[in-house]
Amino acid sequence: MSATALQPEPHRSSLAARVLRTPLTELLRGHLAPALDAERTVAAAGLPASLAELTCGVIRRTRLWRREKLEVARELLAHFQDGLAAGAAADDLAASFGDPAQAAKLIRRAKRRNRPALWKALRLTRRTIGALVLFVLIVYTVQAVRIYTQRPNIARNFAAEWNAAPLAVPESERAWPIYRAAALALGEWPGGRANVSQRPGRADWPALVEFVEENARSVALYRQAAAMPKLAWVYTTQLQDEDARLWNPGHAAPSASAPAQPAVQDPDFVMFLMLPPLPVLRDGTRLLTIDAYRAAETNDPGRADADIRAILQMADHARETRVLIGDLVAVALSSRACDLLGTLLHDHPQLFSPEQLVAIAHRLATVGGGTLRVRFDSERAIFEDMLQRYYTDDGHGDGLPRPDLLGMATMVDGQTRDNSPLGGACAKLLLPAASTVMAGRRDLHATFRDYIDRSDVEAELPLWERPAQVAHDGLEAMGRSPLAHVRYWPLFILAPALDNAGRIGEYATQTRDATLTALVLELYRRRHGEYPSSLAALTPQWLPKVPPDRYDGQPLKYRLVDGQPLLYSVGVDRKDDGGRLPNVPNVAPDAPNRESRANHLARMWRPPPNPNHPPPEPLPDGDWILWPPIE
Amino acid sequence: MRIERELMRGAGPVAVLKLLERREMYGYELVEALSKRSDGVLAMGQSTLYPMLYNLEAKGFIESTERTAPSGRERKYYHLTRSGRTQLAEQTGQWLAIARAMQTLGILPGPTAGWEAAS
Repeated sequence: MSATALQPEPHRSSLAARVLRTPLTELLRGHLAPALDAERTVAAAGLPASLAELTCGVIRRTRLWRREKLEVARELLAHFQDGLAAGAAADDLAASFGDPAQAAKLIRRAKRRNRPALWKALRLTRRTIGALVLFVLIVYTVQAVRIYTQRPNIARNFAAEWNAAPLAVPESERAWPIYRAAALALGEWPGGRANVSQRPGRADWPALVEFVEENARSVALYRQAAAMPKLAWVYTTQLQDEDARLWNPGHAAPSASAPAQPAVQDPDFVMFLMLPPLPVLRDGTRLLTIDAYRAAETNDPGRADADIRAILQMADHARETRVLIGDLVAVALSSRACDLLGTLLHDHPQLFSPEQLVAIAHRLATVGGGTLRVRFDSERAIFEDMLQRYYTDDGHGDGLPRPDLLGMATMVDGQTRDNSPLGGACAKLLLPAASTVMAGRRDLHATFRDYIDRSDVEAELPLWERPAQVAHDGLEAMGRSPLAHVRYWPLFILAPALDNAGRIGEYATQTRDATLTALVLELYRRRHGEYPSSLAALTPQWLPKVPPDRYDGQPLKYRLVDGQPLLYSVGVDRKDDGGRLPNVPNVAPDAPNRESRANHLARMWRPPPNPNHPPPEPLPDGDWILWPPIE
Repeated sequence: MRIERELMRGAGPVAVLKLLERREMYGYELVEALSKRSDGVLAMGQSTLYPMLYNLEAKGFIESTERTAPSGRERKYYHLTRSGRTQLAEQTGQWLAIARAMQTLGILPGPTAGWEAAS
């Protein structure tokens, strides 16, 4: 085979020359110049067809940049031209070339090694990103399969455990049906329930007296219900029949302001168990408090005595619900009874007989079985129940969040979450990715348990032994980290503020102890004609010992002011100011409720003063007055 | 004689470097020289030679310049760099060590061949 005459194409030309040579269509396509077109160069070289085809095939397969292809093409062309010039046959040259595919591959690899460092860096970046994306996709897929293919393992029915006790109470001993009847019979509060003063002498007092008289049947039913041994409320997530009427908007109180029932599929989900008894008990306490004041006004000690005892029994009924909010209501009702009793002792010291006072004192001392501590057991159960429903179970205490968890935030706090189908779908798509950051079931449970355990230890301590709110501060510090907030967000949604709950029991205990002491002081006065000079005179005949001041662990503070007793605690500043209330910043001296606000400030616990870590605001300089009552 | 691919992969680059030690050469010239001077043992086609040249160029052992040959054709000439000379020296040393070892083992003829008989 003879070689075709060679017509080498000039390939070194200026940019302007190449632009001028480039057809407009090629320019529009982004091709700068035919000079960079390797195949045209091959065609122009005039090689035998077999060699031209071989060269074009190889450079096409290299998938290199145009400039690189052109370089390779020129070199191969020169090689073949040299071979032809040396007398070799085209077919022999083609045969000795080797495997074109292999050649293209090796040329491509070698040429790319010659590329600029910037291109290599970009390639490395691209590959790294690609590897990361691939890794993320694999992790996402694995997580998605684990999350979306596993069913929850409901190993423990907490609702059934909670309901075992009330279901065992005979029908004839159940207070709840009577409470419910009392609530359904109760009319609308004058001016609204939230605005009821419950005190004689206030503007709404005549209307409240009229309201109590009009609702005498409810009053009687509340007293009758309180006399029953057990509340016997059976937990459910969906109220039925008469109970549902309490939640029916437009019905008589307490249903009017009660929220609509949330739609909960699982009837045993303790997080959504309903507690209509608590607002009913609070309503009953309001009603009986007004009735007791009215009884005092009309000098009817038996009626007032019955009301106080009923309120104390309601506190025990609230505590029977065994949930944190039930304990908090129980403490609130107990304190309400103390406030009522303390006010009656002050305003109507002769109202009750000594026997009635002793009986009331004994009943008051045994509310909650003698302790007013708020229990956290229910929170453990609620959290564990949430975990078993919203997390997968690997059989060893660990697991991943399930899609249902996303609905929890909406159900707990429906006002602030995106409830739209699109938002829900996005959240479900993001869940596998989020689960790689979120704490697993074991970690979340351990963190929650640690928080509750620490809170339990703190709640066991009297106020005078509490150095700081370690559990709460620890949780708050953890929440300041955005990563921890994402990692443990179910914890931050569900964990209640147990620091304050733990202190409320202490406040109530101090109030109860002071009320009992005031009651005994009245008994002493009746016996001796005057109040004692110190509380030590009450022991051991009247009191086994002087109750402690919850803020310093020393005996409750007592003085006679103008012959009248004053019971107080040193308060949050842990300093005896002789029974003086602290100043209230930014409140005028003649502002209404100023004394009440000052007393509240003196009561609210804060860590003890520490010279090394002074508090951001000075502690209120004054005492917490316990008796006589401060409105 | 056909050389194993792995062996060729080791021998080819050093052979090319050796050919370029004395003067610059272009692709076809290298193919011809390798074939003739090794009696065809190290003959390689373009599919092997040019990727090898590009690799040596990427490593900085050789450099290329495009020039018009006396025949009027555009060619790319390759020449050895300083780094290439160092590399050639190292490779040569290694091949000599291998050759000596082969001689010691009696695989290649040489002054130490036949040690088995001696021992």
